[in-house]
Amino acid sequence: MTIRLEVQGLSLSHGAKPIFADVSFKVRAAEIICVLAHSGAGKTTLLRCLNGLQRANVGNIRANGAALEASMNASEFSLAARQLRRTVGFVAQDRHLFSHRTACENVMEGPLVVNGSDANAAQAQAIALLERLGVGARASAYPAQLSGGEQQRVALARALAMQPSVLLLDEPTSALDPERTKQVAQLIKDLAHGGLAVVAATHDMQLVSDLAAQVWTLKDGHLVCAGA
Amino acid sequence: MRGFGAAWLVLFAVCFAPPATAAATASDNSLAQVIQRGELRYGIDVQGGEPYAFENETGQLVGFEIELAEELGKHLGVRVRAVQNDWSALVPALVRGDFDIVLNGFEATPENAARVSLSRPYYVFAERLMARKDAAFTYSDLSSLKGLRVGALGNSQAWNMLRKQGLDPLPYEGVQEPYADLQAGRVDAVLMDDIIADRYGKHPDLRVLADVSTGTYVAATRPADVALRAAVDEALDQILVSGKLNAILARWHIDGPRQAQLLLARKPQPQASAAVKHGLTRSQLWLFLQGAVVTLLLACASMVLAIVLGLLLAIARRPWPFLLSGVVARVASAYVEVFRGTPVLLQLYLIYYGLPQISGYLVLPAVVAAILGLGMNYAAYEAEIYRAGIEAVPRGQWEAALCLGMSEAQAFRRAVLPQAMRISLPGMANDFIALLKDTSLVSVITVVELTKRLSITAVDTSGWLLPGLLCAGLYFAMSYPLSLLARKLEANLDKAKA
Repeated sequence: MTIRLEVQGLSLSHGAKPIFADVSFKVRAAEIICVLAHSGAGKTTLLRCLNGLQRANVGNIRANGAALEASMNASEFSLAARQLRRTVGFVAQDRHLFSHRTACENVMEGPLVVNGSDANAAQAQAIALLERLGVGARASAYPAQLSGGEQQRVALARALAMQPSVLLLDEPTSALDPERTKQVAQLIKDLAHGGLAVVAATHDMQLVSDLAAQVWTLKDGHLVCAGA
Repeated sequence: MRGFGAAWLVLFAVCFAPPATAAATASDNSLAQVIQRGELRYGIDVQGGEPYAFENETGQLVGFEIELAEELGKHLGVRVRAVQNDWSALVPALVRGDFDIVLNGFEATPENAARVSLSRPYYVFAERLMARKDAAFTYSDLSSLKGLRVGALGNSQAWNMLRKQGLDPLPYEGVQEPYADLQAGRVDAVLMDDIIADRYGKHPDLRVLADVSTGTYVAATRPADVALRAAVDEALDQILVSGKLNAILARWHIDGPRQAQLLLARKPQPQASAAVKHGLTRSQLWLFLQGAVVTLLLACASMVLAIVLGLLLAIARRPWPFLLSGVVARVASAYVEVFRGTPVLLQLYLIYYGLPQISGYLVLPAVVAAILGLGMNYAAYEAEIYRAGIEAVPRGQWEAALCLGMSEAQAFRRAVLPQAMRISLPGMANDFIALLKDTSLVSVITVVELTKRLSITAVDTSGWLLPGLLCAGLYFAMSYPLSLLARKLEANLDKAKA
């Protein structure tokens, strides 16, 4: 299968304290990887580095022709990160939906602003995505009016609207009950089945077992394959 | 000697007070109080400038009226003390008891005679009309000035003369500014006392059109202070007859044949036509409403400028990944600090009177200068409100936008700014209320808004209470809905956060 994301020798430390060291891995199309670690181990920081929200000390990341290198100067890095993010989507643990826009507008925002899509096309795509994720009825609600689970699915729809080839998910089920967790796991599996490469950072063992994915653990700054 | 002089004056006052005011005199101890205090306090406005009463290079008060006051003191057997007061508010300050007499270019007009008690005159002046040499209009009489912009000291005799001719003169508070505006072309003509015109209107581009009438300067006392008024009259009479007055006027180069009339001039009596109308007429109410509209329009236009400029400043102060963004941020910060750290009144003066000295292209019309001055000042405050609003938007909102592939600028415009503006709205509404009230400051650059309308009407009706309450009512009627709006916006914001 095609390699969608390739990470080489990624290291980051805060002062003398290493967060992760010499992390290298590849993610192929339709592959799901769970990065498992306890809270505070650096999973979120790793995901943030993978789409350039945070800068590693050394190493590089490649995805769909975009390359982000820790050695780049500030403006090169900023430009490369922007290019990388067009193909690597990210859903943060806190979702960060735009509070001044409805669920539908949140999903339309990327295609409209970044891709310059037609408003009608962007809206049709947004509604289709929301319906697929089971929140079509909430399209005109504002984030403050949505439950945690609904917010999670809208955030997912917003990331998917950009049609990424890699999706980074940070604790995707932290706001969900076991039933919803199963549904989201199924959804992720469906997306992967369609060719999407998924990296999910989690400490939710149920999600890991529902996804039946490859599991990597982040321990003492080292990413170790723990098997499938 | 002093005791003897004082006793003689008391006797004089009692013996020669007019019979019509005998009843008032019975309980009138105005002169006795001055004598007992050993001090006569006289109200002046140093801003009136040379040669009336002004500060010389060493900070000492000098002027022909200062010397006249000294002479008055000698005659009354007391020392004298000048009390600084805004010229246009000398009468209310006198009535309040801030000083005993007014002695500062106070004109003997029927309007003034109806409000206070006037002494015999001590100076005869001419009302001098001046224009630019290249003025295109021809002058025949005051009514021929209709349709032109004519400046005069607010509430002065000249101002009243122009208004009686149906003109709408521009009210000034200082003596230099009207001539500066005349040179700059912001007014077509200026009507002022010749003493002022000779001192401040001397400029190769200006010329005298005509002396349209004469008038006299008098001292003024509270109407009930009959004894004091009589003593002042007597003292002025002696100063005149002894030739001392002429010597003072000669020292200040303002003597001349016209002053011979002083020996004949009689104290003006209040005329029936000038009797003060207490209460407001319908046309005055209409003028108040017009003043309120001017205030509202000024506030709205200034606020639009403040919002646009404030937003640009707030954006400029952010750490953008552009070349020179650090320099731009420092310039924007300096702007905010300077405009926030200096009085808006000073900024208005500099924009209106200061800029024309740099270039003839910078002669701004009064309303434009007012909007620019208020707008630029409030932009500094708005910039700070927006900065706080932008910082209050969670970092996650920026990142969520960046994660979609937006640039920093797109993330700011699409995700951060709309939320920051919502957070800033209550503060902006509060600022607009403050701005609405600060528009009263622009009367210093001849814009007649609500507060200026109040001071004009207060003089016309000889009272501050009724026009003051009406003025306050109009301000409140404009600002209270804004207060409600600000509160509603705050409530909405709290709901959105929940």
